[in-house]
Amino acid sequence: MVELLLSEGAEAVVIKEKFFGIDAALKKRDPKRYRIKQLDTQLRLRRTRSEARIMLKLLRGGVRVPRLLSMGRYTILMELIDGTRLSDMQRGSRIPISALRKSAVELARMHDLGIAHGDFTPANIFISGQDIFIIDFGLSSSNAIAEEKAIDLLLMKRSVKPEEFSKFLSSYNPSGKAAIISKLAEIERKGRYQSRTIDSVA
Amino acid sequence: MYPITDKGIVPTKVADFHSSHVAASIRRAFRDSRLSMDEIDAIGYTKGPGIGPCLSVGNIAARALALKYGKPVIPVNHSVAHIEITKHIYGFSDPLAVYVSGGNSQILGMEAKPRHYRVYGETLDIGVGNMLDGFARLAGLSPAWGSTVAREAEGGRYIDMPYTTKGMDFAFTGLLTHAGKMLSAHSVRDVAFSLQETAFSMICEAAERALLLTGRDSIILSGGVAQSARLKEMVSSICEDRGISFGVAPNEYNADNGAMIALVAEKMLRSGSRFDISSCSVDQKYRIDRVRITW
Repeated sequence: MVELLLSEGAEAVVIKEKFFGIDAALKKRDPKRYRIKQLDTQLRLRRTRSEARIMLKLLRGGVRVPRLLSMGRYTILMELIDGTRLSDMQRGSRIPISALRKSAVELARMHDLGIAHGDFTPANIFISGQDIFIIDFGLSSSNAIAEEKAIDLLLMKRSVKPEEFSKFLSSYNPSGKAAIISKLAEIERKGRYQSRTIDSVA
Repeated sequence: MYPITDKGIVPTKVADFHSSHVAASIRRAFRDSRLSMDEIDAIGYTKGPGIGPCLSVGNIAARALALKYGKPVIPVNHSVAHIEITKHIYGFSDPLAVYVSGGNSQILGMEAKPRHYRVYGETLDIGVGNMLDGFARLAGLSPAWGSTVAREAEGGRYIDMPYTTKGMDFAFTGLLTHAGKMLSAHSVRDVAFSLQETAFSMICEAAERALLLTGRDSIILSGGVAQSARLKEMVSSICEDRGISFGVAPNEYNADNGAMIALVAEKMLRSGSRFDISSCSVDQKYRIDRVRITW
C-alpha cells in the first residue's frame, strides 16, 4: 500500500489511511535511532497515551478536535479533517477575522478544561467550511498552569500580525484571563522573547 | 592551560592565571606563526559570553596592543565564533547549529533582515555542560567535568529520568536534582549513563524539530560539549536518517580557543565593521542573537 504522508514532525508522522471506507489520519510515532531503546519506547508509549487521553477529554468538553477512531501502542487513528491550515491561508491572503475569533473561542474552551496545547500556531488550526478544528496534541499538557496557557498565547502572538492578535485576544475569554495575560507579559520580559536590538556597527 | 584539579575552576584564580600568562601566550603565538606585528591587521578579543574577570584580562590585553600599535580592535561574540569556525572547516553556508557548552545550550540558524543568529530553542535554566559538571561533583567524580561523566557512564543501564522538552526548548535542573537523588539507590555508572542519555536525547529532539521547521540541509555541532563522542554519534545519526550533512570540528576547536576569535574578527574587519576603542567592553551575558552578522 502506498502511504500518503500528510505531515511530518520531529516525533511523529501523519499518514492518510482508510478506516471502514472513510478517510482517516494515522498519527504514528516511529523509533528514533539517536535514543537508546528503553528511553525511546517509554517516550513514544507515554506520549501516544497522553495525546489520546487529551483528545478524548477535549472531545467530551466540546472542543473542536478530530474524532478518535482507534488506537495502538504507538499510533492514533483519527478523523481526517478536510480543510485548510490557517498557516497556508496566511501565505496566500490574510486570515479571516471569523477564523481568528473562532480559534480564540476554542483555545479558551481548552484552557477552561485545564489543557494547554503546547504548540498553538496557525499550522495546527484547520478551517473546514465554517468550522475550526484544532489538531496535534503531542506537546499538550493537562492540569496546565497559567504559564503554560500563556505560552499558547505567546506562540500565536508571534505567528500572526499584531492587529490579528488583538482580534484573537478580544475573543479569548477563559476563566482567569487576567492572570494568563499578566503571565504572558512576564514571559515576554525574559530570555529570547525580549524585544532585542541587534548591535549597530559603526 | 589553567590546571584543572578535582573540583573544577575558581573564576578569580583563572583570571589571575590569564593575566600572568597573557603576555607569554601572545609572544608564543607570534613565534609559532612567524608573523610580526606589522602583518597584523586588527586585534580581535572575546566580548562575551563568559566569566567576567577572565573576559576582562583579554579585553585589557587587546586594547593595550591596539593602542600601542595603532590597530583597530574588534569585539567578538564567543558563541558566534564556535559556530563560525565549524562552518569554516566544513564549508556549509546555512546549517542548523547545535551549540552546547558549559553555560549555553541553543539550537540556532541564520536569519535575514538584519542578518543574525536566531535562537529557535534553548535551555530554560542551565547549560548542559554545567549540568554534567554539577553531577560529577554530586557523584564525587574527579576531575568534575563532562568527559569524566562520559567515562563513568560506559556500560551503564538505563533508569527512568525526567525528560523535559517544551517544543524546541529544554531544561536540565530537574534532571540534575533527580539524578542526585538516584545516587543513593543506584550505582554512579547507571545514573551517569541515564543522565547523559536523557540530556543528549532532549537536545537531539529539539534539534530535529528545528530542522523540520526551518528546512535546512546540514547540522553543525559546536561548543565544549560537542567534544562528547556520544553526542556526536547521536546528532550524526539524525543527519544520516534525514540524508543531510553533518559537521563537528576537531576537539581543539570545540574547546575554547583563540583561532575561532581571530577567524570572526577577520570576517568582521573585511566586511567593514569598525569599533570605537572606548566602546569595546566585555559583557558576561552577551547573547548571540544580539550580534549583527555583517559578512
